[in-house]
Amino acid sequence: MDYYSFRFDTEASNIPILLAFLGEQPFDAFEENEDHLMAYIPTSLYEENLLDYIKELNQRFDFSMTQTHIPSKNWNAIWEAGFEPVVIDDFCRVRASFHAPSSNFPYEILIDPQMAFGTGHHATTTLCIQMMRDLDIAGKTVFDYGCGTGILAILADKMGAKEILAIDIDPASVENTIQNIGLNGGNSFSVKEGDLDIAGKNQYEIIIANINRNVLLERIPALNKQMKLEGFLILSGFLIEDEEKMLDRCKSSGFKLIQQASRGKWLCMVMQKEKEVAPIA
Amino acid sequence: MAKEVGGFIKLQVKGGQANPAPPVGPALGAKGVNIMEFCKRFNAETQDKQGKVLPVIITVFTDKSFTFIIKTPPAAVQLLEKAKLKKGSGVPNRDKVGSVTWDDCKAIAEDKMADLNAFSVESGMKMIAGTARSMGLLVKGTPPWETNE
Repeated sequence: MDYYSFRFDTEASNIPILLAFLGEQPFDAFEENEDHLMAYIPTSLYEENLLDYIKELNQRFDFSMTQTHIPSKNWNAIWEAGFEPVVIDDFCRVRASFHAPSSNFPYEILIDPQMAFGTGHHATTTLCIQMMRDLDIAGKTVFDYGCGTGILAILADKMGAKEILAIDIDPASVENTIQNIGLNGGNSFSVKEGDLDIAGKNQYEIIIANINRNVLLERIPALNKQMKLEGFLILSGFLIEDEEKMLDRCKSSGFKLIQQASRGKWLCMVMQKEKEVAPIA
Repeated sequence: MAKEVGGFIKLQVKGGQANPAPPVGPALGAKGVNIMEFCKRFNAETQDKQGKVLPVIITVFTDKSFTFIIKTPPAAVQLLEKAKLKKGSGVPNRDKVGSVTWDDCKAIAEDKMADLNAFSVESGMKMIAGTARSMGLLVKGTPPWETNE
């Protein structure tokens, strides 16, 4: 994703104040320095009236501003060049294309992650993979909601899934999933950019969602609609402290808890759809 | 053996909105840290503060691992929130459209005491009130030390 950076040169006492006012605008993040403030906004969220807002601020606070376009880049390249393969129990090994293959594991997945999430290094991905190990995925339809690198969709394919839909709202993740599918082979995939609405009225037997608490809480009722009765939902990307909220939302959305596991601060749950529930409008 | 610190990175990131783009991407990427792991952890820990500007101090170790501390929003951000201003006021000292109370200043001073260069809550409150005025906000009421006289 391309970004604009705005550099505000001003006296030190103005910097926290500018930060507060600019925080009201759709900037993602800031960097405070001694004599200037940097503010960053995705080009997709940039609108002309932001400049009007800045002009208005400039009438009250003395600063000079420069705007720079920052093209999308793989900022993760240094880490990626040195990452070690990940082994999850004796079940699955995740490696990059520059690592030597190993035949010691039932499943081996190739991931060149770039700017997408999911290499198996993170507890939330590891937990999903462990939960998938315990499910019978062969011959099933699978929906990977928030696919990142595509790691979980690729594992589902290797475990024999019949048909897989992988979606993500992040275009870089969709692109990366397609690349990683290319590295691993398989032809049961459909990869799309967007949110739940692009899944249409299809119902799946297994849904995997490694996202975050707020998105999951909001979408769990809608995920009920995307799932066949008695299908399994793997939820990950939230903390142990969020357990009660997640359980409550799942129960009120027609799911029952089958299994859960934690790793560090992270919790992962497997739910089963018990009944149909109308999603919250 | 304790890990060797390779450096500190201080950023202000909106809760739940860390992503691998600038400034997070280049700052962490240059040190060889797995940016995606930071984003996932930061976003998970700030789900209750979605969209709020949060200072985060990241300690990067020489083995490319990291830890981070998320602080409460900066004083000026909290003041704006208290004043419930959707938009800044006009000219400070002349066109004041928002206001905060001394109680607000006290609450923020207590919250930010560790970051303020102040010896007492009272001097912290004066600093916060000064920031409020610089932002164009009225500080309403009488400071507690005057009512006690």
